[in-house]
Formats: sequence, C-alpha cells, structure tokens
Amino acid sequence: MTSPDDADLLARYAAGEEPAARAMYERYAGPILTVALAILGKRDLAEEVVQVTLLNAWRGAGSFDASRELAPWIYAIARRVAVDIYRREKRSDPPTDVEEGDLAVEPLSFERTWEVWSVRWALDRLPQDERDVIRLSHLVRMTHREIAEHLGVPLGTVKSRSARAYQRLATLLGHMGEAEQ
Amino acid sequence: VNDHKPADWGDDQVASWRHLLDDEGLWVDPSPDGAEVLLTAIRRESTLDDARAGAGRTRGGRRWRVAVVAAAAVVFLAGVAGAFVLLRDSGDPPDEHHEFAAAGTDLAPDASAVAAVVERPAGIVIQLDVSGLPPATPGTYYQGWVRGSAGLVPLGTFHLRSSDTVYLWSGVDLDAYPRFVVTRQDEGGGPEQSDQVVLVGDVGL
Repeated sequence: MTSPDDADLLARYAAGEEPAARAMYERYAGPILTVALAILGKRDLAEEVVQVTLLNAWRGAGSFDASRELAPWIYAIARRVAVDIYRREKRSDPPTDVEEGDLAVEPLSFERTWEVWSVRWALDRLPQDERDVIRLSHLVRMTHREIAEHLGVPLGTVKSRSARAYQRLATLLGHMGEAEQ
Repeated sequence: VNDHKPADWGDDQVASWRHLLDDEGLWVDPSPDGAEVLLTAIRRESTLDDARAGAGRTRGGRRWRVAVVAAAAVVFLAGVAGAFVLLRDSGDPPDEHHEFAAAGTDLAPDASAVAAVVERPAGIVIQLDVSGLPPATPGTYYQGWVRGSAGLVPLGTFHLRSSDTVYLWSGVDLDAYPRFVVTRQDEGGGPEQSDQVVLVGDVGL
C-alpha cells in the first residue's frame, strides 16, 4: 500500500503544486535517469525519459491505485517510456551508424532494470557522507585508505561510514525487494 | 580494491545487486534545471486543459489549480501581446524570425519573456523581451544558456537595470540546443551555470 507520505505527495502533485513537483523530481529523477541510461545509453535521451515519465505520472495521478506502492508505478512508467524511445530511435538509426554509446542491441529485462532502479533508489536515500564513501569506492575504485586521504578524515571514519552505508543499503534493498513482490 | 567490503553484507539477493554499484550510470545526477522544465510543461499543459475545458472542469480537486493557471495564462498572454506590439512598433528584428516563450520559475514567479530568434551572418541573435523579472541586484547578474544533447552553451550576461530588452548571441545551431534557460549568477561565482534558474523555455525550432 502507498505510504501516507507518498499518497499525500502524489495528491499534491496531481493538483499541480510546485513544491510537490520539485519533490517528485528530487525523489524520482535519479532512479528514472539510471534506468533510462541502462536502456538507452545516451544522456540526452535519458533526460527526455525523466521529463516524459514525470509528466505522464502527473497526467495519470488521478487513476493511480493507492493500494499499490508509488515507486514501482513510477518505475513501470519510466521503463515503458524508455522502451518507446528506444524503439523510436532504433527506427530512425540506420544500422550502419552503430557507434560506441549508441543504443543497446536489446533493452534490458524488466527485472534487470528494476534492480538498477532499486539500487539507485537506495543510494539516493543514504546520508551524503556515506554515499560519498560508496561512490569513491565503487565508481572511482579507491581503497579505504585513499578515500580517507581524499576526504581528509581518519581511516576509521571511512570504515565506519562504509559499514553503516552497506548496512543501510542492505536494509533499503530488502524493503525494495518486498515492494516488488 | 574491494577487499574492505564486509563479507556479510546482506543476504544473497542483496549481494547480487552489489556489482551494480560499479556502474557509472548509477551515479549520474539528473539535470539541475529538470524540475523547472517539468514545471513549465505542467503549466503549459494546464493552460491548454483550461482553454479546452473552460469552466466546466470535471476532475475534482484541480479547480483551484485551474484558477491559478488561468491567472498565470492571462499574465503570460498579456506579455506575449505586449511583446508583439514591441516587435511590430520597433520594426526590430526586421528579418524572418522565430519566436518562443519562456516562463518564470519559483525564483521569479512573475517573470516571463518572449524571444525572437534571428539568423545573422555572425551567429544567431535571440532578442529577449522580459516582463516581471527584477533588475539584478548588486553582486549578481543574469546569464542566458541553451542546452542540448551536446551540452550547455552560454549566450551572454545582462542585468536589466535600464531596459527589459536583451540581445543574446548564440554561436551554435539552436536545433541542437532546444532548451533555453536564464540563471541568476553571483559575481565571482565562476563560469558554471548556477542552480538559480529564473526563466525556462523551449526554443521549438
């Protein structure tokens, strides 16, 4: 069932309230963008997916079933929009023009993109200091010692932030798994 | 590299998601002006809805919004009409031109603008007739930008202290940069686009 916070947010969004629109963008643009990038591989097309998805959610907010979770509903819209744009681009792209960064051969499966969405969603819920440690570790591939030097904090602080972050991610991802089912 | 990660991090299902953290796409931030673009689209669609449905809107809970949007539409249309008069009276720009509208954000809710795009031998001129945007305060200035798939291009800076008409120059083809943005910048704040977006519009070529 939709949480009271989400239900209130969606109702205010449907009514066109600016703070609600900003909150929807802040909450969902990241996961939508990540899913769209996984499907389309192009930043400009992925940004288009973010806009179309949130606009479609606004248009369809009145028909949203409050007995469901909001995030999977937004996710389903995002995936549908991304696949539509994928097909549009495939139709317009001559097959000889395939280059690095172009569209994937086939869009990822529903389950796979849900995983991508879930991890991004969980990452965006982390406190900034914990998120920074995870980003430097995975994206920049720094060791804990390098992260400590980079951030100018003791090694023990990095280790504790890392441990808390992974624990928090495990909890959040567990909840997302429940929402999926 | 990953030897520091706890071995007991979550159950099998969660652990199977761990490798996704290495994906660059997971860490890309959405466009900083995306919320403004979304709001502009919602406002535009609300205005169209209102025009179509008139006063007999059936969907509950949105009537107050329609009233607000209708008021905004009146202000906007007045601005458009005024800009047409300005353009016609001054005869400038005299060439074939394309026009588009820009709407104020919550940082400048009373602002609007009509832009006339004119091709010149040295580049593209965007004549911007601004309404409702206050002059830049000391230490700040406004800057125009266009954004497209290839990135962000600055158009020029202005302050509006003695005129509401601004001429911005673009050296790039606006077909490829369809999103128009005006930001408020702080002097000494560097050349990057600030997050203080005051006007947004779609060039629509």
